[in-house]
Amino acid sequence: MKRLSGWNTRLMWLSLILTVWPSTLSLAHESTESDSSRAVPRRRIVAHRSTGEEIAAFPGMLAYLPIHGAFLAFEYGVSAIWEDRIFDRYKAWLTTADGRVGVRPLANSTSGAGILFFHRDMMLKGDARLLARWGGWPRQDYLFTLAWPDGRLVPGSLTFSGQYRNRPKELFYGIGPSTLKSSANDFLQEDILIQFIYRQRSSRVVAVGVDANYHSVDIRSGRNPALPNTDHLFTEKTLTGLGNRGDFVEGAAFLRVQFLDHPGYPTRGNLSFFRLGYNRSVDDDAFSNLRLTVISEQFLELFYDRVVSLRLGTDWTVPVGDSGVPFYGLASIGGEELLRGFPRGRFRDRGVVFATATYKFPIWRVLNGFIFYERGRPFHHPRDFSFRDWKGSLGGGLRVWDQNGPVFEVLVAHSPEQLRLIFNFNTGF
Amino acid sequence: MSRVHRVLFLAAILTADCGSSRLLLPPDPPMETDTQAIPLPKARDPKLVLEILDKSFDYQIKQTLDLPRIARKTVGKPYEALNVDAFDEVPNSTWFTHRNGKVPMPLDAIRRGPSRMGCPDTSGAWTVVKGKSAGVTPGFTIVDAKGQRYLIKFDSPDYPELASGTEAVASRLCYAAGYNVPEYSVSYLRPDRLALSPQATITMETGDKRAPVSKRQMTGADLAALLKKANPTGQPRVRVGASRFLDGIDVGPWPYLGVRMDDANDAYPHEHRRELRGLYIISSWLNHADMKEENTLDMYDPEKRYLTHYLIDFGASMGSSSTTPSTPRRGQANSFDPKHSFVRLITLGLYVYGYEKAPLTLRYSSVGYLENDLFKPNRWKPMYPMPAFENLTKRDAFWGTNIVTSFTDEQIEAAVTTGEFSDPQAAAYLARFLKERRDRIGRYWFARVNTLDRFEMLDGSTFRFTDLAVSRGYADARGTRYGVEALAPAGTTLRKDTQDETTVRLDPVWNTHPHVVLSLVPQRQRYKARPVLVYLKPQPDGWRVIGVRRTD
Repeated sequence: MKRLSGWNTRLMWLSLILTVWPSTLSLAHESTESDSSRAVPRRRIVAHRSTGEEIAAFPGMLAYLPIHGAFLAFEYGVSAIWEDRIFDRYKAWLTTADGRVGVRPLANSTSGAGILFFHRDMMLKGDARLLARWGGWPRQDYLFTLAWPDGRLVPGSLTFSGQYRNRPKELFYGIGPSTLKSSANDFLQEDILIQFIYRQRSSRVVAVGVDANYHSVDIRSGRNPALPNTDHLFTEKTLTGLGNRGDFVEGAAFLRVQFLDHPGYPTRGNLSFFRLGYNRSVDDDAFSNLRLTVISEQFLELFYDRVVSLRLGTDWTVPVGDSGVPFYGLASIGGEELLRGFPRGRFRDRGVVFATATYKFPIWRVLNGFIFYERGRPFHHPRDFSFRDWKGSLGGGLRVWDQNGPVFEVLVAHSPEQLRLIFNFNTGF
Repeated sequence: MSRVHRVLFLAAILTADCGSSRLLLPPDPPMETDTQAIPLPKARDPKLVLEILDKSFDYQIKQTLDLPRIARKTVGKPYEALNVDAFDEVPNSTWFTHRNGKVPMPLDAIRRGPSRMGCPDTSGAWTVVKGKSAGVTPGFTIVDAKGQRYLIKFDSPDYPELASGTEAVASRLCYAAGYNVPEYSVSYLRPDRLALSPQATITMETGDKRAPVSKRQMTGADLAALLKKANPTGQPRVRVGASRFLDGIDVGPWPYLGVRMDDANDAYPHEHRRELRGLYIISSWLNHADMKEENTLDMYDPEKRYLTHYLIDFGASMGSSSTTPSTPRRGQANSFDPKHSFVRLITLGLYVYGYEKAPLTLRYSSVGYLENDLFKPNRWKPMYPMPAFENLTKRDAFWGTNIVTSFTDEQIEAAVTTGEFSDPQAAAYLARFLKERRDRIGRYWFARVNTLDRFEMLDGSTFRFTDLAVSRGYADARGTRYGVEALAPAGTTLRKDTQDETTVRLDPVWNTHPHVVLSLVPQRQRYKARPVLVYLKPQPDGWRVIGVRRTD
């Protein structure tokens, strides 16, 4: 038998469906259940429209079917989360019965995917966390913290942390505000950071603290074959810190002041942070410096939970005496926090100043939208301050939050150089 | 519009009214009985999240792609309710029984509601057979001295009287409107007269997310903990809400969409049932927004072997949200309202809905947050989308408005007394809320539909109708005239007139026709309605009304 052409086959199926479908409808309307043991009344469903209308509705039904299939999958997925509590079961499965020990997956566009291991109430009632993250292989980040929250060991909170970080494709574009994107080169940075932080809350508003750190940095050739290596383009003389292994000790004091109405979704108030640290290189005094960080964010409710926040900040590294500041220790803008339309470390210098204006608005109970505009500029010295060459970035996104703060956020940030999609799954379930 | 779309659209319009254009024939749809014996249906247990997502997205897209439906809406001929008789009325059924909407109920009957047994018997001990510490409201199940089983729910200590009073009042009004509801009452528990059954069990929150609740044998300590939670000050007499267990076998909620396939009596898809579409008007009156499937119940009568369909749980209606007062948002938006979220998203939050601006003022905590300033009778929204409400037509709205406006001030006040509010000012405030809301509904809907009803023969040749808008005070009789046109079956005009009276003298010469049709329409300023057709048949002893057809 001659094979039917593609169109003929389709027409045959369509005519078959159009012939059979209305009759199945009427069968459904008039079908009778049979039960030999008990008299069951005749099943009848009164149709709300004629067969003609059912046929007219058929194209719409056909268009709807794939959508329906997708929604069914989505609905059952959501139902599995909310009703069957699969995440809770999953978390419980990854946690011991007493809730003290467990593991959690993590994911964000900053650091890649990872895993968090925690052990609560262990050494001297301290909470331990071990976090391992891998992204843009072979980038690695391992962080171990042992923390004693307020009053558990000492009057305030005490945290010890040790971190190993290996970033083989760090980008360097040069120093100052006029560097070009095309001048990118890469280096490998390996860090070991050991930190003790003591924090004392003097009230619900004010917290003060000190931290002491040991930081070891090793810079080597980058692993990105598409870019030139930093140590090929520069020398130790032209780029401070290149070729040297740096070992630093740092002592710092910080102050955090928080007047917020709702920590999860602040609508009014201010959040400010000050930190001043002295960073001294161990081997010699070549890289000793003072580092000052000041960030202040003011929240202002415009109307009915629509909030504008203005964030101003600066980060300065001031060399002490004849010291220099290694290029990897310079203040920088670009990344997931400041000037999000630029990649991390896009602009570096001894100091940066930045400002972010964010407008956020409620979309649903736990979902809000936000748009932001931010500007920033690196400076070599405070006297260089000017309003020229400021870099701008704008964007917007959605944020799912709970009473403790954002749970998940996704945003798009745009700068003259690129468009970036950033997401952050903060709590990892 | 593409050519294909145009063809489909025209086809949909052409097929839209097939087989139903019997303008001058008396409508006589056969009505399905729903009390035939059926086997015990399987219990349903729908999931709330699925229900919300399905009705919020999936169902909405399906409706958007339903071309005949769109065509019908476009030409002003939406699908009308299916379960109406020749008089455009809902026959009494296992869903609905005509009560105040047809014949005014005495005040005692309003106060009594569905009650057969009344409150739990307080003369003897209450035996606790089941406890519940999980969930929004703690409570337990008791058996009273008469052997009746009741669910006892406590008011929130922060808002005493709120949930129990609201549930008693709203359920009475819903019952008087014609729906099946359980017996809810305010009762008083004496902790010293509680006894614990040795077989009593309790559902507890475990704190373990793998199994959030657990069920085990209930102990005296559990009972004491429950009482401490509900009665922290240790009062010797505690006000509670009591609902008597319904007779029969609980087979779960009825579905909002389609029919219950294991109930052969269920012939009309629920979204096309008049009493469920019209429930929109009653729910909007009572601000009964918590309209999820879980708040409905089918009970199987093992003797008569058929289902009776109930509305349950009225604790979140009027000014209450069960344990807390209601909010301005309730009734204004669905709990998850994609449309409102979308509007906020595309306007970057610059569009602010009225409920976002409204202050949450609480005049009397016992009756909760009551407001009518934001209330628009056609814009009211339940917490979750309900297909029957979305199919509401003007005829359904008239049907519901007829019921709501049938409640007199005295009847509303009688219902409010069942809330047993200790502050008379609070009770008066609640009654005022209900009266004002009733009048808003009456004024809105009666301005948009033909308000003529109660068609009857006074004698063999005098026909009378009632203008509900006038008789219930929503329109001025002096400013109202009535267009009356008598039509022969073939469509020829026998008489056409405009008159002030609500009676029509039928001409004896019309007896030669097998039936005549009276086309009646009220005429008022700033009011336009389509006629209602009343079918009259000559009988040896005079004329008889044999059918009514509304054309709104």
